[in-house]
Amino acid sequence: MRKRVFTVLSMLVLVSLVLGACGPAATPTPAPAQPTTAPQPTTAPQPTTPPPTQPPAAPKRGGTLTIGINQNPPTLDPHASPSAITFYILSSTGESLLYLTPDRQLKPWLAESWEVSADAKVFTFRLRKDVTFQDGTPFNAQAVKWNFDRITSPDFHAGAAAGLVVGYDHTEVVDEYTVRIHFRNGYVPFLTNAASPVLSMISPVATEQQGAKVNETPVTTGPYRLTEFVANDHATMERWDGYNRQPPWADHVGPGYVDKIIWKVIPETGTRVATVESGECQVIADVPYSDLPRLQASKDITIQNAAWVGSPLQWLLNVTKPPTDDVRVRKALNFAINRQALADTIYRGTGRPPVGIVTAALLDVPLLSSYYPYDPDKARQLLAEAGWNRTGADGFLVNDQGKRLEIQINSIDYGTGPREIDQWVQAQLQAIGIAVTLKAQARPPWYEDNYACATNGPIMLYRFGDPDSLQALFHSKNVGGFANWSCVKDPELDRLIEQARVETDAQKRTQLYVELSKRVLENAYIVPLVDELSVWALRSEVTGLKFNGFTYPVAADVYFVR
Amino acid sequence: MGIYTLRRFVWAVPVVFGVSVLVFMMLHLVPGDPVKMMLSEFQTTQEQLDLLRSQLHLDESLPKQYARFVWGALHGDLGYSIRTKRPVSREITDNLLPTLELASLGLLVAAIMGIGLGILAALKPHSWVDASSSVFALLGISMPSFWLGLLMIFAFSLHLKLFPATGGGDLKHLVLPALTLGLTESAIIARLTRSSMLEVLRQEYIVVARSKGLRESAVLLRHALKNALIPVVTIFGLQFGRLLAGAVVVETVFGRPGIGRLIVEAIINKDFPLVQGIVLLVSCTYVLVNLIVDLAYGFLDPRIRYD
Amino acid sequence: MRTCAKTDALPSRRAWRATSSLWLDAVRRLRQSKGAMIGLVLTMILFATALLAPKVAPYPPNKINVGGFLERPSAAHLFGTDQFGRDVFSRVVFGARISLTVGFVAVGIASVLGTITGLVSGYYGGWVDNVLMRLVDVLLAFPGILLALAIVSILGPGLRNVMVAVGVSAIPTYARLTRGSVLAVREQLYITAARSVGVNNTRILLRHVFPNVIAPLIVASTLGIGTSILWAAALSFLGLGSQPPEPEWGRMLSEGRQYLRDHWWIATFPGLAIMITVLGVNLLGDGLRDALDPRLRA
Repeated sequence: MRKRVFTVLSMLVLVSLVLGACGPAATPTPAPAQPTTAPQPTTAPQPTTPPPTQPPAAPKRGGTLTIGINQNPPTLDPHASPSAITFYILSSTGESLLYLTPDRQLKPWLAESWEVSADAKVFTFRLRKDVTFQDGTPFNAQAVKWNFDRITSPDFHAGAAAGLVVGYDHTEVVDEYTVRIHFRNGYVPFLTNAASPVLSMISPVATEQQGAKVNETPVTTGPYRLTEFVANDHATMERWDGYNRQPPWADHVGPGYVDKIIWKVIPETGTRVATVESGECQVIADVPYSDLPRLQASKDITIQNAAWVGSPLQWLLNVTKPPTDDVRVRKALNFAINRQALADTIYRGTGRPPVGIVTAALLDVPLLSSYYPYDPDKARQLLAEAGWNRTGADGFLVNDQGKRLEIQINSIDYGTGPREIDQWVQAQLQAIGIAVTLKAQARPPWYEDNYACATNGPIMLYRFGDPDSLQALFHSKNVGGFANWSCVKDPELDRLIEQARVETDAQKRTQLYVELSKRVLENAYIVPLVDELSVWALRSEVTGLKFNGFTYPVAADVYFVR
Repeated sequence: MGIYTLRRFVWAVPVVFGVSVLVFMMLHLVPGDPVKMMLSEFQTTQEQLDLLRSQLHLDESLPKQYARFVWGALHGDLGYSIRTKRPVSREITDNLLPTLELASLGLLVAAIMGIGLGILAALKPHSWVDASSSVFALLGISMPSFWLGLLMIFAFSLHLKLFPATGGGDLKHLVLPALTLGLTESAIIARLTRSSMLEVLRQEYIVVARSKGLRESAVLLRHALKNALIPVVTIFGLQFGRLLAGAVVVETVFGRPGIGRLIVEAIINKDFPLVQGIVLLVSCTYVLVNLIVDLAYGFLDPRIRYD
Repeated sequence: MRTCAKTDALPSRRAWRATSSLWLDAVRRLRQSKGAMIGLVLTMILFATALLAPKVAPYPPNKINVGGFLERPSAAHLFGTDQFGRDVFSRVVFGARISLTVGFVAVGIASVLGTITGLVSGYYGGWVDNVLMRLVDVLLAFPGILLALAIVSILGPGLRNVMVAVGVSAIPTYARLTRGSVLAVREQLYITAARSVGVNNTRILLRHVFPNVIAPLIVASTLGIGTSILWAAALSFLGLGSQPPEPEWGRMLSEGRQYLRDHWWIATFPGLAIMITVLGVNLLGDGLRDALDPRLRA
């Protein structure tokens, strides 16, 4: 009897092993047909509008929505976070003074109306009188002052928020619901920045009581309330029934429909996609290009996307470290990258070639293609002019002293190794003879190397709603800080930035940014790579996902249709 | 017996001391400034950096820091994680349970499969059963666990959709990781069981029992198995250590929370206090487990009391 | 044993004779074992692939776009292509070079340092032995891959550091092995030496102790190559070992993970390569152990 039990057990094991081993050979799903020749250029994918909501038969209330995201937010405190992923979550729970719609209209939110002085130094906001924080604290001018003072306080480690209040002087409480914010110099971008989730208002009373827990559950005024944050695992928000206003994205009064939203951190792309197919998550962010065709073909899944605003995915070239200190080398790098091929392969359906130094959604002026079309011969010619004119024994370019042309990219590792785009850039450049190494590291050491101008530059993304935020990337005072990692000290660039910041005429302002873009491109301070789309997959049982003007998701109105 | 126990204890002390010194040196052998790392994502002033440095006692002399380190470790204070700014001990305790679950279930799987196969092979030496179990054992030792894990995900999650591919939480999420871990470890147990069983079956007392007319099953159970399993059970202690180490890879493959994944992320993030804390904890536990197993072994089998 | 005028001549000649017939016997037994022969063949295939990689591989391993992207295995691309259009078969072939190098260097470090430690410790005994063995115990206090992980965290990622890390982690095995053999020989030689006069210590070490240590050392090294390859692949899988675009097998597995669902070949073939390589080395090592061991109670 025992023998038989053991035999059966071992048979079971062997069978399951065999099944596992046979799996790869007998894929039941037909793989999508892959082109064997160079892929055809696809038409630029248009950002889709959310699926037309048929007159909903009263959206169902209730349920728990699970959303899969690809990174762990370092903190959920909107003022302290430097990372975009925090604001994926914050956009459904935090509220700011104004709201920016996807077509870049400013709408009232916590402020009912506003005025800007002629020199753009003073901003007056008249606040709504019926707002309270989720802990019951009333929202008023005092609270607004507390928020802005917090961000700019020297004791506070501000994240991206510091770059959205440049030149802040003080906030004046005019009366209980009128607040006036003063800047030392004109600050035209402030209205747009005031609509950013980065400048969400949090409760003065609760924050002072919470201490460090503000990084997990900041208390805001929005329709959903953060209740839990387990780092690297998930963040939970619950519907706050004390919300009795009409959110600017909605056509109804009051909070949303689902009871709970759980944001799950799933860095591994294959697994994240598997969760939306299995139903473990109803929504996932950052759908990889390799799974897109299959998901688009599936009748259980809808794909939604929106074009990112801000910088395109770009490589900031360190102008202080050889060989990228030579403008000819930097131009050669720009000529050597085939951006169309990039968009057709690893960004197929999720991105397009960039137009300039900001994304097309922010400034649709095609500059890049006139400066740097794909021309590997021109690249080699420029490199030869710069002294890299012979090929060494191992196939890489060398100069007259026999030194190899070596470039080190500071490559961020979110936990799954250096990103594919970094490897792709490496492969492209190695093809013309440049020995590129990827220094793959996680956030903290990556930032350190950027501050220290230690590598030839990082490949990074930077999301923002107003082109003034380019100051973080290009103003000389940000070298060694956040985020001038090209280590550029160009007085002309500084002047253009400062001038555009105070220019109140919209057309003139745009023109200044065009000039700025041209200067950056002429000097090849960066290599723009891809204008990315934010691509989401939703199961058919949910609908209602929206995006704000900063391309962050607003999940507060998602509901289950069945 | 008393002297044996005492000797083993005494010898364990310098080992633990050596481990603690080695682990402590890790943070200080590394280039780079841990204080700057902690605050790298924020814009900080020199005063803020210096303040944090003195708060973390990183401006004191090395011996003093080591003393503080040991004193703290004995009280459960292992410093603060650079990345999350939370106490290292808290990071560890938050992640300990899933790893223990995985290692335990993995050991169970390995034991059942390994012992089962080992016994089968020993009962029919040189038969096809024996041959295939040897092949299986060899494959188990040669197969990378992360590859097996991926194959499991492929077959059972992506295509058969029987189990979730990643995450932690409930039993469902435990099955594939435990199977992966257990299968690769069962090979060693299978080999050992087989050879031990064969050894025992040759012994005289088995022949005597058989000639007494006892049923085969009684022979097996009452006499053979018990003795055959002694060496097998004693390596369970060592196996647990191997399983903890194997959990590092398996947790990463399956995206399961646990100290395995924690230490890998800590290394990638250059979060040395956390790496230190985990390595110290796991090594000291391993030394302790080995000590207990050695003592138990000495207790069970009086022949083994030498050094 | 008869007493003799030339005190160290007798044992060495005897030992030599015993040893040579020992080796011949071992080779014979090896040839008879099916498993060992299979292992030998597999190991030789590994060697050949590694040495002749540029001739065996149809494409350069790191060249992108030699085929379409994510193409299934076909006649032109035996193992298909990956997400950069690189030929997976060529990458697996060049990966053999990396694995072999890693295996040899790691085992080299471990066996040289470990054997010296074991020889010194076992031969001189006393407090030297105690201290060295305690140091070895400290290394052994880290289970499995943990020590290698700790070393890599200090040195930083990269294949060279992985080789050092894996090598250092394996030192205890060789130290203990060598020490055990030395102790066994010492037991026996002590009696001989006690009867003779003026025998040189070093000579004894080299002439008598070392030959007895060699056999288990060969076995351990062979098996050690397999373990080193596995551990290095694991570390690369975790992102701590080889860096892109090196075609190391563990790293290829990690890269192929996200394509597993529809493009299984990127991750499957490197894993198969690891398994077959380690299997071959293990079979050979096992065969060597069976062939050499029983005769070696000198």
